[in-house]
Amino acid sequence: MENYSNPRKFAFKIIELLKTTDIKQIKLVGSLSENNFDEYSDIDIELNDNKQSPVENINIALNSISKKYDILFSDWAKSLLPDKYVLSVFLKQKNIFRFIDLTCFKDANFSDTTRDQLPQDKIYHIFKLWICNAKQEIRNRHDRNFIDLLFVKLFINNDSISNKTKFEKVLDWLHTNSDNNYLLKECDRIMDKINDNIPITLAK
Amino acid sequence: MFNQYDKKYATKKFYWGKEPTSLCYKTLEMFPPVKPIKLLDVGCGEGRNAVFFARNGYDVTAFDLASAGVEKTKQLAEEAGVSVNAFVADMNEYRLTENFDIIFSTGTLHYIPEEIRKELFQNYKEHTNENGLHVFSVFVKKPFIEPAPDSESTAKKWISGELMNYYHDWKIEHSIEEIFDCMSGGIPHKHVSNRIIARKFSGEL
Repeated sequence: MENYSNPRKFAFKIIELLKTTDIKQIKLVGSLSENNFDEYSDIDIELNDNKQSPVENINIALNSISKKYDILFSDWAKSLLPDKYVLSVFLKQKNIFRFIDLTCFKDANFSDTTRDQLPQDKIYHIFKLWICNAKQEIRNRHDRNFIDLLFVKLFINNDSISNKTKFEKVLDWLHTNSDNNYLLKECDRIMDKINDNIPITLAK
Repeated sequence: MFNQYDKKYATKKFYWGKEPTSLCYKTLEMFPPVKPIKLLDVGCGEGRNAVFFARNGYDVTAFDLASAGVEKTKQLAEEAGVSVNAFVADMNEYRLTENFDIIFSTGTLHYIPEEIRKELFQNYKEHTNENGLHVFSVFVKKPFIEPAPDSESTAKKWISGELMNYYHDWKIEHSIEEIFDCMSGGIPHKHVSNRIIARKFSGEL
């Protein structure tokens, strides 16, 4: 398992790798490009090439990443369709928060890809949403924490329970429904830190 | 069980190398690992493709007739820190009893005798999940291509279109026939291969 201590350095490694494809434009965006990242930041990469459809561009990029890095799972952000195509790619690495978001915008030259055409697994989608929200909980960015929305995907809404309990309940659901011990262990580790109110120390 | 490949795989060196074939990347594009997708590699050789898939989030089962190949598959998986359920089996006798999302095979299916192909492919098709893929590459015979100097008597090359025939009721996602150069046996020669990716599909387009 590789260890990527410097997120910007790692992001540029990914960019270099993607430049070996024939995708015309590959751009680092988001916090890493704006230099306001932290240890929980993901890597946002924008792809642009009108030779092929947005989904094809993203698949080419995914393909390229798989040559050098080990993919844990990937998940489409279907709610952003059809204007924006985003695939989150989680790699087998010590910092689970440092996943790659591959983004490509709608291209009028190609017909839209519908939600049904993109594969998605409910359990892994919940994993992604849990990790994304956990990151905001750790950062104390409650304005960006949508654990309520995730919670009601699985349980009946209950305003009287705390965010922490909601995180726990969703994680319990994942334990019941998934046998991916690697991911569950990572999430347990994050949950412990949320419970302890201690900022998580990530592997360097 | 011992076959010609046991000898080829007996050395430390990987006879086919450790890099996956291009068809693996095509498969990744067609069926990205949004979960541990169940993939079967039929005739996995020394495991270069099986380990690629395992590295990238697939739940991989693989078998080969050559026990030395299966051992090297396990070794390669261990080196990569992944798990592949690899075992020795003869594809001409082994039949599937569980379902897979992807059945993958490259450079092996010409060892299936013509008379059992239909029945074998029926078994594979029946044990493929809805929306699942078959990703196959087979050698095709052509009158204008000389047989390879190291061609084996047990091999029964396919004819153009034969593989496609088994998938008349599936969605053909990709199909190509290509002539390529080969250096196996140390003498330059050519092969023709037919690559196909077919999807079990009963939904609406």
